[in-house]
Amino acid sequence: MADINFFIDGIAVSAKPGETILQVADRHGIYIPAICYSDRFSSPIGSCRICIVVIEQLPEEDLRTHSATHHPVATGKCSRPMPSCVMKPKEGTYVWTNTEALKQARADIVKKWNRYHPLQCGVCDASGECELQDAALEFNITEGLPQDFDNLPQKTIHKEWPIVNNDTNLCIECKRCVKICDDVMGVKALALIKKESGIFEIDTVDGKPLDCEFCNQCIDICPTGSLESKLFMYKSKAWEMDRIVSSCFFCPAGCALELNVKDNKILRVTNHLPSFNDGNLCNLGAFAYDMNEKNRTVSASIDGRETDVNNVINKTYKEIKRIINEYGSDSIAIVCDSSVSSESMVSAKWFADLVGTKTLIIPDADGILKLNRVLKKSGLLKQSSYESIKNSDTVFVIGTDVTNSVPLLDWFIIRKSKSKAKKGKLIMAYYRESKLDKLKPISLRYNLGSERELLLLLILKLAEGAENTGFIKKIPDPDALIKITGVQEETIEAAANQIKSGSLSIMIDTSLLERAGIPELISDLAIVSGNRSDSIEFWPISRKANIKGAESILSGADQHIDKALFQQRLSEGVFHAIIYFGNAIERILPPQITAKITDIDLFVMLSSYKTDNFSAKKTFVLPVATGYETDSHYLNLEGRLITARKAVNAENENILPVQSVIKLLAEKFNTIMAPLKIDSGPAAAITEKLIPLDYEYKAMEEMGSKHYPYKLIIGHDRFRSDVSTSFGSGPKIAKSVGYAEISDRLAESLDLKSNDRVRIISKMGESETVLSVCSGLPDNLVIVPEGFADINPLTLFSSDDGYEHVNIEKIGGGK
Amino acid sequence: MPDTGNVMARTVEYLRKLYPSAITEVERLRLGRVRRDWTISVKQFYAYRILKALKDYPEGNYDFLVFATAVDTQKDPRFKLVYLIRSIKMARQITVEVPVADDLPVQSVYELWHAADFDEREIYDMYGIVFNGHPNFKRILMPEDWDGFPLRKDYPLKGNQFSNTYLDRKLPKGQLKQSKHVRMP
Amino acid sequence: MSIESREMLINMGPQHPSTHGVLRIILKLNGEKIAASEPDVGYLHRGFEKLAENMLYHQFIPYTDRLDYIASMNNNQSYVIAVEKLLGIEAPPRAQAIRVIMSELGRISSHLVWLATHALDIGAMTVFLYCFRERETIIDLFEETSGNRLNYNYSRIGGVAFDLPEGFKDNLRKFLDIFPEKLGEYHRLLTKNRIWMSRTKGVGILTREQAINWGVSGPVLRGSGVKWDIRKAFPYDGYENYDFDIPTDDACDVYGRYLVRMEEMRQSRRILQQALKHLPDGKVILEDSPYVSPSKEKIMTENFSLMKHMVLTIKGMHTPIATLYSATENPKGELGFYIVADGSGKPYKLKIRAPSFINISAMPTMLRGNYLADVIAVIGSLDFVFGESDR
Repeated sequence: MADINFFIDGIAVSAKPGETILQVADRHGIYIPAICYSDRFSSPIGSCRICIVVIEQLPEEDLRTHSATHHPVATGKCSRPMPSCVMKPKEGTYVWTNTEALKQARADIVKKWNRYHPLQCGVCDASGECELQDAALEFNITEGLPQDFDNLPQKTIHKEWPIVNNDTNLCIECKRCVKICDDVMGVKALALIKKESGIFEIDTVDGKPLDCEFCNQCIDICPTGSLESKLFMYKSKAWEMDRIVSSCFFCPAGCALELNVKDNKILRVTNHLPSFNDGNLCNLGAFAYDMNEKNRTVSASIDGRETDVNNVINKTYKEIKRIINEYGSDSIAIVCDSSVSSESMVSAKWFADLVGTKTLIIPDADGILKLNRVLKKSGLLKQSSYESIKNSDTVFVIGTDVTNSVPLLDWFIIRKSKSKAKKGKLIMAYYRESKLDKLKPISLRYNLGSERELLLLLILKLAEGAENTGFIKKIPDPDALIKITGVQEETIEAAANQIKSGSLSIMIDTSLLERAGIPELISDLAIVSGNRSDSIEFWPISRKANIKGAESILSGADQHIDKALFQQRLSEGVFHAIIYFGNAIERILPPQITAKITDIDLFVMLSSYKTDNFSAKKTFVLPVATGYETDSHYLNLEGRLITARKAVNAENENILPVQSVIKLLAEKFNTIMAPLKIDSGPAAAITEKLIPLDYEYKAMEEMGSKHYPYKLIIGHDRFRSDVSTSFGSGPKIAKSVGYAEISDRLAESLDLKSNDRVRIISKMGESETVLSVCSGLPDNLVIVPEGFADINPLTLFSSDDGYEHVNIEKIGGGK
Repeated sequence: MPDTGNVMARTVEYLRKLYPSAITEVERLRLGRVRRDWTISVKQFYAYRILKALKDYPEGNYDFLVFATAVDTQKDPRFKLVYLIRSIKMARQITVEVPVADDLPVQSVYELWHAADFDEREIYDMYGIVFNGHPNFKRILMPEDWDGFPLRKDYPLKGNQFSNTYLDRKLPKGQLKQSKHVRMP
Repeated sequence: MSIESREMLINMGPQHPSTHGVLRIILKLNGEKIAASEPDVGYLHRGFEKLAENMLYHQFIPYTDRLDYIASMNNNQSYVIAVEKLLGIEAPPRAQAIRVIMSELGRISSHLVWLATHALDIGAMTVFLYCFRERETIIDLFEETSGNRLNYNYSRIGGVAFDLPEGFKDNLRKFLDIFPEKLGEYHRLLTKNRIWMSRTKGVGILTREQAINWGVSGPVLRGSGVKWDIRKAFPYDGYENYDFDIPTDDACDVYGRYLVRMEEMRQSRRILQQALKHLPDGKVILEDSPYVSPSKEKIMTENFSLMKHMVLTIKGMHTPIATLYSATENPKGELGFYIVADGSGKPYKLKIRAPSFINISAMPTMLRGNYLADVIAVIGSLDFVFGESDR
């Protein structure tokens, strides 16, 4: 379609097909006021009517004598006012945005809003960034509708909602919150509801107190103070805070955000920056900002006794020197969490080089590294970009719920399905019901543990016959596979057809990638889909913020060993000292390993948070700054280097950035630490020739027993990522404890109800938790989320298979 | 008073005749009631000559330098020197703007107008623009050992009240670093 | 036989009773005579221009009080006129007339302080006491109007803060009636006084050409015989409607500048009399303008007024994108504001053209060849204030 040429305020402009008048004006720098419009939505709301314009269609003969000074009042042949956010332009029309009549009409709308608006700007949190205030000045309202003070409607103030305070008296009914909740988040919690008195109010759809993702989006987009954060209320005025442009570091998406700081304290998080996340944030990004205030290590300590940082560094140096002398430098292992900043990782690697050890472990990066190795072999290795998700024809999600792991990808997928073009289709391969099922994807609900079989089936369907699949040894019988996966054949066929139809984005959980064969199968699937390497993207999904940073640091390093090898060497007694960069080691390594670490000579921990119950023979703790207290860098999922800027000063001078601690330590070794070099991810390499990889199928053995009839799996929760997030007050209010989830049928058979306390028992031990019963779950499954302070599912694990056989027992014996 | 009907236009015309390529922009600002002063933008190469020509303008000398200052435009070139000069005889004034880079010295106009003495020192003090040919060129308002140029846009408005870096550098060892009445939250 | 002679360097100030603040002059003396001198300013630098770049337009009004703190009313007026010109608005006629009254009273009060200290420095103690007696009356008038005695913060963008209080006109009229008599008293004490004349005549010569070249303004410029007054050349606040003369003196010395200031006080009285006579009725501030906060009463009762007020005080007004210089004739000389506005609520740049700053720079020219004791006379005749010079 050709561009549409028309005039706005006498200026010739051209619109691309599908653009509205407001968008065209925006692009050409012509200002049209608007309240309910936001470019974060896929379609306009059209409720406020502030953006009205008049459209004038001139007869042919007038067009020829047009001049820029032409004014519509002269001809008087204008349309009635139309909202420009909805109207599409027509060829050769004249749009006028600012006539006297329009000014008057806008002022009348604002006056109507003002009619019952309370006089509380002085105490309202939104004051200073309130769009109603701005409108009052912009349209220079000097008189209002007569106020009937005796009959002021008393609307509801929802004080009972968690986190969100909804004062409907302040609402101007622009419905932005309703739109963002449905359109961007896909939650549909809010609606404009007609009350018994005939007044419209924003309320929850079901009328019960709000129970949603608590993502801050409605608060952020509310033009007035109607929706406010309870965590921020009455703490500060908008203009008193410094806004520090920073990045979120709670998941690998790396969304941009602004930290609002006053008196060395982060008071809230806002976001109006042009960035790939369009200003959207999830609960963690928006409300976990006070996590750097609680449960911190504020001083260095040796075996629990507080002491001076320099003292600890001295002793660390002496101990390391002694161990190197006695056992050689390979007896030192450096362990690094993958949610810490790139600074920590580079420091860890640098320190490993300094002491000369060959052992650097970043446990959660095993999966992503495996995938990298495989993709390098098959020629598919490249850097993905968020932009390509928006354009890809198929999004294939397997073994993960992106809503909980990386909410940003969830929004991208929702945006794709909500946009008018309806481009792209989602294939959701997951063992349980999830939020994305609302979008009606092709749903492959497989039995847990049968991911390999599912992928094999898809490959066989795509390759259309066994003759094309020479790379798969011992091709099993498809019917048997279908039985194992539990998915209908037609669904698999539909999914295969969809995968074939065009460009492909594959999102796969990193823990799944750690399992043998999965990376190869994923690569083969991509190759048989018939795509070229530039139209296939892989998204390893993890909850760990800097998984890509770990990949970037380890991809060239020779020191890295995986978890299994580490465990083996640990049991052989190779290691005498472990230096750990990160928080709560018992949450990133399974108990078989951590139990051995407790026997080790020296354990040095560079942590920001206290660990309750973990110690070795000698435990040195060095406090380090969090991402809010120092400039730190992370690599996000698309390999972009993001910066989390320093927002506040640390509580005391003991808390140093991790590179400064390592620098002090290096000085003891008479070495001066060079400035850290942090690069963005490995470069993309597009290859034309794709090589399918061999895979030998082995049927899975069922290991279940009478004592442990259920499968336990670690879930990702949208309200927690790293353990540090469990100290943020927002996530804590949204979800205070980690529930073990079981299906309703299982609960019925065991006579359990939600909120019952249960004991989960495995070979490794037992753990107590609260139960939550939900539907859409396989019957033999128990899901325990990670990241909650009160329960650590990792302690129950014995195998690397991604799940563990457990039993459930009710505590207390009551009803 | 002589006939000053279109004196500004004549002045600019006169300058254009003298230096045809010197003036890049002529701006005549009207805000509210009519104002009579014009603004011309001049290339740095011609700046001194244009200013001298204005001072010797035959119809009525622009003999009074009202002020000279600079603006940190945050563009390239970074600064803009501003001279407002006035003809007392004609009661007219003209603003001359000269875009300058931050690392090249500029010709001082002290010889034309001694009034530029303090103003040029202040420009150096606040923006770090160096003038050639000034008889007594040094800082004026800030202490002579001051670091940085305060009116540059990248110069911070305030320091961190918790930071001791500045005092560490300035104070002898052992001296009290923070005054006792610093209000802590 | 030859006697070895050497020039001597001495420091005068910055702590010196007759330098009117914190001025340091480095004097190179050849015996009693001044061979060269260098004024050193900046001891009172508070970074007003940097502060201005970081605050809203109306927030800067109280800061202008602290420029020439002897004549705060004039500074307020000068600044708000600059901003009004930028916004393209004009204060109501009554507000303009009130501003004229205040600025002329400010001029008289400032000149009284000048005369008092100038005479005191040279040795005439009595004049000091008399001048402060009259100044007290003016300050009482200011206090009635604005509530303050030194830093008034009275002018507003688009008008003035309050209307004149009850009885102000009578009080002012009383003052204007007795003032010529008092002025005559000062003349009798000084003008033909032989000591006064010998200390001031022929001292601190600044010729007409030098004065223009050094860019001095105000009474110093007029004392060098240049007939220049912003009120006449670029009238503001309706000065074109008042009938007054620009006093000049061709003596170009301290005595000439003394006579100019004495005459200016008389002219100010003339303006005040006319202003009183023709004081228009009406509003004292533009009420419906989008740049002006509504009245307190409206803010407390109407939500749209409250909203407008909140936005104006938090985000500030939207100015045109423009660059502008506006100056007024202050007691010390030409006070001008050069504003670069980028459309936001804060000025992108605000340069204060301070008369004292430029006037001080001309001092070495005046001092050369004079005696050391004349430094005091020259300083007094320049009448500078360091709040303004150092900003």
